[in-house]
Amino acid sequence: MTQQSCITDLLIAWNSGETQVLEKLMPVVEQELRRIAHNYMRREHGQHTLQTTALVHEAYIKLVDQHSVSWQNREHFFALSSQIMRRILMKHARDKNCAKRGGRSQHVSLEKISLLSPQKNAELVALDDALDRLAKFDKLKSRIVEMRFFGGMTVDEVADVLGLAPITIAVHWRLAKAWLKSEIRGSQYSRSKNVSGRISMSS
Amino acid sequence: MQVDRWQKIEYLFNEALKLPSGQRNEYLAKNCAEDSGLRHEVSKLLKETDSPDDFLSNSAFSLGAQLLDEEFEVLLRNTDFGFYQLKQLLGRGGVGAVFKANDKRLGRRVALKILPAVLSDSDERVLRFRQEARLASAITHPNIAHIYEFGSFKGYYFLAMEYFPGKTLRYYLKNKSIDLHQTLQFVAQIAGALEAAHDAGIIHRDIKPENIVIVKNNLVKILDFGLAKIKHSLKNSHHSNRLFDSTLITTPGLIIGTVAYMSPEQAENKNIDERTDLWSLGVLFYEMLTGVHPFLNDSNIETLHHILKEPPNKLSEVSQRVPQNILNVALKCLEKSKDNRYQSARELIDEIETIQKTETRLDRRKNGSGESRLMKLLTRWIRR
Repeated sequence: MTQQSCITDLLIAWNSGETQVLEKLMPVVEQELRRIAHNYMRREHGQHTLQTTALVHEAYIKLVDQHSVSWQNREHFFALSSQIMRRILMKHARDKNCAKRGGRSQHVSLEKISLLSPQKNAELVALDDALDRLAKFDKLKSRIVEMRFFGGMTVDEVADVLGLAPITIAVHWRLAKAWLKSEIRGSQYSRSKNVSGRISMSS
Repeated sequence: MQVDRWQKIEYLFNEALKLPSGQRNEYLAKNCAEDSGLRHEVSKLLKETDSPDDFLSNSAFSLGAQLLDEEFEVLLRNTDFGFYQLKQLLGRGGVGAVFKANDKRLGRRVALKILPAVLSDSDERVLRFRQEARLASAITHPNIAHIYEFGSFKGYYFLAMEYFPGKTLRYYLKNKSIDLHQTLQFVAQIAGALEAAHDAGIIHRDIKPENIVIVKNNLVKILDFGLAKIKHSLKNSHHSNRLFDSTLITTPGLIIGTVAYMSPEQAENKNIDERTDLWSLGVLFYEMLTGVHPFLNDSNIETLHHILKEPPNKLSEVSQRVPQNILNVALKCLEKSKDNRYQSARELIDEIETIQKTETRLDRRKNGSGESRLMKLLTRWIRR
C-alpha cells in the first residue's frame, strides 16, 4: 500500500468515527509538515511564506489521494493540521510559561529560547484553556478559532472546508473572538500585575 | 455555560450588532428585562467587539510553523551556544536567524546571526563567507553595525554583531513618520557608511529598509554588510538563475523586498559595482521623500520591468509637492545607466551637504520674519 492511499484510508476511517486512527494519522501528517517547513526555510524564504496555508496545501496534495476524497476529508485534513499547529505551539508556550513561573524543576533546567514574549506566552496559555471551555458548549466556534488562529486559514478557506457561507463563518468568528477575549481578560493571568499591560484595556 | 443560555447570548449579540451602536443598549434593556445577568454578559461581549486590542486576528500559524522546522527547533532548545547565551529570537529570514545574546566572556550584549546548517555543506562557500566577514569586520564606522566575531558551533556558522535596540526604516516608512529633515539626515548617514565600505572594497548589494535600523537620536545603523554576496551564492546553489526562479515570480509580495531595491544591473545579472548601492539608496531616498515606492508594482515581473524601463512611479505628481532640488538628487541616484548616477558616495554626500547648508542659511535669515523656507517646504510636504 502506498503512503498516499494509506493516509487516505486513515482519513476516511477517522471521518466515519474511528477516532483511534488519529494516533496513527497525527505523526505522519506532522512529519510531512515538518519536512515541508524545513524545505521552505532552506529555500531561503522569509518567514512570511509560512503565514500562508501553502504548507498545509502542499502536505495535503502530497499525502492524500485526490481521486477518492470528498470535501469532508479535506476538512478533516485541514482541521488536523490546525490541531497539530496548536499542539506544537502550546507545548512551546506552556514549557516557557512554566519555566518563567519557576515551575517544575525539569522545565527550568531545560529552559528554551522563547519565540514569544512572556506576555504572549501567558496570553496563549489562557487562550488555549478558554478554547477548551468553548468547545464544551459550542464545538463549531472552537473549530473555527482553531483553523483561523492556529491554522492561519482565511474566512473563505474555513468556509470552504466546513461547507458554510463565508458570512456565516465571519459571524461565528466575531462572537467567538469576543467571548475568548473576555475570558482571557478575566483569567488569572490578566489580574497579575506584571503582565497586565498587554491585554487589560484602559476602558 | 449551558448551551441554551449560550444560544440566547448569541442571538442577542448578533441582533444588537445589526443596530447602530447608539441603539444597542436600548435593545438589550428591552429584550433582557428580566435577566440582568444576560444583559450584562451580552454588553460585555459587545464591548469586546469594539476593543482594538485584537491579538486573535494575528494568526499564530507562522509561529507554529517555525517550530515545525526541526533544525530551527534545535536552536531554540537550549540557551547555551558556545561562548554565548541566547536570550531571545529577534527575527528570522534571509540568512538564518538573529538572536539577542550575551557574550559570556565579556559580559557583552550582542546580536548573534546564526546561519542555516545548509551553508556549511560546502567548504568553498564557508571560505568565501569567512573572507567576506573578515573584510566587513574591518570596517569601523558609526553607521555600520560592527562585526565582532565569525565562528562556528556544533556545525552552525554564526556572526556576532553589535546589538542596539531600535526600529527598522521599514517601520518608519510604514508609519509615514519621516520628515524632510530626517530624510536628508538618514540619506547622508547611509551614504557615509557606504563610502567607508566602498573604500574598503565592500559593496553591500542589499540596501533596503529592513537592513537599516534607526537607533535613538536619529542615528542610523546599517546591518548585514558582507552578507549579500553569501546570500546570492546560497540562492544560486538552489536556483541556477535568480530572475527565472519560479518562487520569486509566482509569489507576489514574498521576496518583494529583494526585488524592489534591486538595481537595473542586478536585475539583468550584469556586473555590479559601488553604484549599485547608490541606486538602492536612491530607491530609499525617493520612498522617504515622497511616500511612494518608485518601482514597486503588483507583481515582481512588473516591478522588474519598471526598474529596467520606466520612470519612477507618480513622478509628475510628486514633483508638485516635493522640493525640486532635493527630488533631483534622488532621481540622479535612480538613473538607469550607472554612468549617469553619482559616481561615488562622496559625490552624493557633497550634494546633500550643500542642500542642508542652504536650508540652514535660509532658515536663519528668515528666522524672526515669519515662516522659514524650510518650514514652508515641510508644511507643503506634510500636506501632500
